[in-house]
Amino acid sequence: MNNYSPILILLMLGLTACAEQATKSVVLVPVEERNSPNIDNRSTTTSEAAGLDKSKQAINKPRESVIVALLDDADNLANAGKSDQAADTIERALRIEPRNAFLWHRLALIRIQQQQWQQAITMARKSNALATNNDKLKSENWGVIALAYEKLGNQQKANEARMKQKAQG
Amino acid sequence: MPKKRSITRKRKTQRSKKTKASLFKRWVLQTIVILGCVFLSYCVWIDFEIRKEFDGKRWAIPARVYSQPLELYAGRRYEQKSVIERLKKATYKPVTTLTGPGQFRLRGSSIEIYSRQFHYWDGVEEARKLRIEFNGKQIAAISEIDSGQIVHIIRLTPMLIGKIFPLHDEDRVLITYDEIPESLIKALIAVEDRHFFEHFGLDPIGILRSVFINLMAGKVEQGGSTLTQQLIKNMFLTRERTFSRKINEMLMAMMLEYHYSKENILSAYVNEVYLGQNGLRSIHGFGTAAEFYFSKPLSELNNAEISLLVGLVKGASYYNPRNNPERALKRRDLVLNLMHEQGFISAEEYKLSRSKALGVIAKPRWNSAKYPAYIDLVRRHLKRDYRIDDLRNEGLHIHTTLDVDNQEIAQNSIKISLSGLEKNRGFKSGTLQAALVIAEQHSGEVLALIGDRNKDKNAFNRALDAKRSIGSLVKPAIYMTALDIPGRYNVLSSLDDSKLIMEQSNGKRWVPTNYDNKTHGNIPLIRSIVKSYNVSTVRLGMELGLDNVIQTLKNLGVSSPIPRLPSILLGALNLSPYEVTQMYQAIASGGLQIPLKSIRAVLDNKGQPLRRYDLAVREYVKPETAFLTQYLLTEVVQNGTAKRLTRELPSLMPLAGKTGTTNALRDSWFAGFGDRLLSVVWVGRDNNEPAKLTGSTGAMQIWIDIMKKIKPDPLVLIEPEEIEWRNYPDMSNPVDSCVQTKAYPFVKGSAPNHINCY
Repeated sequence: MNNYSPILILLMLGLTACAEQATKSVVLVPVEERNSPNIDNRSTTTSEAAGLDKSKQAINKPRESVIVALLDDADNLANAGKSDQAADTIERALRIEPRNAFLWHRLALIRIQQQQWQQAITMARKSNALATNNDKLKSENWGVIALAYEKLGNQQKANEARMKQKAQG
Repeated sequence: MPKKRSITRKRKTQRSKKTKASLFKRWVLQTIVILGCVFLSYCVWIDFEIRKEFDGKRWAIPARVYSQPLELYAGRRYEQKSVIERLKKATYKPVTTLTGPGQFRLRGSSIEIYSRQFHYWDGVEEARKLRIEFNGKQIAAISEIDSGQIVHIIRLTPMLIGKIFPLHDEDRVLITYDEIPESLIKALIAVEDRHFFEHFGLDPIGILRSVFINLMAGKVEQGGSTLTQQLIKNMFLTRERTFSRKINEMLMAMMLEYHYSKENILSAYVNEVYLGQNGLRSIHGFGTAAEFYFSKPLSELNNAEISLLVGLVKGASYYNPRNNPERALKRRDLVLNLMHEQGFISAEEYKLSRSKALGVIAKPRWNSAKYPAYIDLVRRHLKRDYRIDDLRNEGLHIHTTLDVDNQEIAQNSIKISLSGLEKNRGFKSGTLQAALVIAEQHSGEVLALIGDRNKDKNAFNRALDAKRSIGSLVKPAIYMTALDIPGRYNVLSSLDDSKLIMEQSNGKRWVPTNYDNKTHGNIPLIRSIVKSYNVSTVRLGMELGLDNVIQTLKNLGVSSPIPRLPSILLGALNLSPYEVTQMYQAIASGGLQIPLKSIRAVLDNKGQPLRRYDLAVREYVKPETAFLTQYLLTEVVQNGTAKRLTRELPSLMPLAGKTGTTNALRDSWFAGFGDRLLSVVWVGRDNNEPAKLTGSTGAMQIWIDIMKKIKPDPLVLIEPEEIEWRNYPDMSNPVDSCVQTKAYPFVKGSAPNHINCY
């Protein structure tokens, strides 16, 4: 407005004298503010991290490096409390290797983090169904199942799972 | 005296004249004051209106629907030419040197890409220069060009596959001030408003100049309206050309300038200006126009393309580059000329830009008509969680699971195959219809969906809405019900396929028959399903109990009503191809029921994540039961009604599948799966007349054609630990029976000690 003539400025001031306080900001983006989804702020527990490390060592397939890279990403996200993003990354890896028992195990751990107990149980069982000769992984899956049943208040099933965890471990 | 008198008279006259004059003056003054007040009130009112409108300006922005991104990583089977094809589809431009996003170049057996930035649910993937190296038909390595660093996995920008439009059918891609390319600002200034950054809403010099030019030319060649005035015209006023409207426009322009910054006004202008028409839908703003005419983001347009769009401001219809390319070219060159004259572009750039073709794409790429059935599915899924108004207005970004490659392969196959089938069967062209779903069984993601043989039509989405009798596709549910009781049934259990007469509740008799019109006496369970025998299946179903079979169907994800009638055992059960896919997903995934989904995530207008559709699984059956059912379906392919797969797709074996045929050959079905991909195909006629096709002569043929191109991974059956394999006489065919041995799977402890040969 530097080049406005004083008369025009006066005219305009006069015109707006009775109007409300001039507003300088313009809403040009027509989307309501939305909250980002709730993110669980807890970090991965030690045992979860340990489970991940073992899974990384055990993968031995041509696409290994991609899966490991995605597991790394998921690990970082989970540690940063971004369990939703971590789950998204594991799902990405699962689209590449849908029958990878470690990925299902890792997803089960994230479901624990998200307190989705029933989902955690199902995914750990899926991991077990795929982990044909890997007793260690199976044992860890039984651990996840036991924990989830405890959280669900089903002590009997939790105990059964603990037994299997020990038997396989 | 007389003199005096005359003086007095004079004075009197003067006084009365004075009084009259002052009265008149007062009257004039009063009128002026009143008029002034009226004018002032009017100004205050329009000032208020302007600010109300401008402050509250919320453009309705359509939701943008994207396909899934193409994920590339070392080790993935994906040919160089396919990547190039995909890049071109996404309007990446082949260049000799990478200078900006949206470009690629070929370097022998590698491709260099300058990728575009994209907001995914898990974060932004920034634009970067990448090298993809190929080794034959595989990707060998991916690295960043500048740093040389290995990149494990990349996502190629998803394709915009459709939009969900506001009610008044406006299309808009919103551009913020920072996103306005400098060349666009320059072009607008050069052509539309030279003193934009100096004037107060009106440009007196501009008006004088345009009057002069118009007088010289003898016609209206240049308008004197500033960008601000044009914005006012677009936002508030009608198109009529009257004096009062012009005054209003000038007043409002001044007020707008008083209240708002140049940046605000320019942003609004860039988003508001009318630049074309797509059928009933108007194209507003430069962001939308860039997509509409060039299928590229505004930031990727060169000077020539920007000039074309700026040229459209004067008359989007008159200069429409699709209908009037010569006129548009002339106008574009005029814009370039003005930019050059005013020193915004160099002589060299001017020459180069002028030499370029218009470069306008024939049709907008995001035309929803491209994958209408799929978009229909996405809409239905969105409606569960979103209000329709939000979808139409809020500019949501919908990330779907559509795999463009698979969808297009399927579309083409269906078109060609149906014409062939019609010729073979002596049907008039257009008699047969088809529907198809392709899904990823471990995630439930729907990769492709077809609801009509004509890919552009979606008046009737057969994949979702055509509920047809499913015939033998129901059988796996019956065998699964049996195998879930390992104490009673195993794959070699003896079933009775001798004549069966059933008394129905209405007193009528029902005599189920086999397709070959023969009965087969005692047969092993595996042969009953592999050969798709009806009589033994009905007997088995009745033995198991209708309620148990119905429960299995529900567990598999069937939600349509299932009549409690024995005829359901032969598939007298009306389901859509989509629902059949849901059912086979549960079988193909090995015991996990996962709701089919078409949406991965929804992001807001700024790319911030709003909602993700998690993988949610439900275990509905014991893994060993699911395994045995899958095994039976691989045997259907190896030795049964789908044996043609072994001949036509030898390199993809093993696969699993089931054919389905209904009474009088009305419906032809095939459901089949490999390690990851599941696809269900239906062929029939809308009027339910016979299609003269069995499952294997119709739908399965289309399935084979599609899989020849998609090349799904062979099915790797990983047996749960409760499964054991035992050798028995080969029971596949009566002739081979007991001649050789074959390993069969059993739930541990359930293998029979002795079997009969038949």
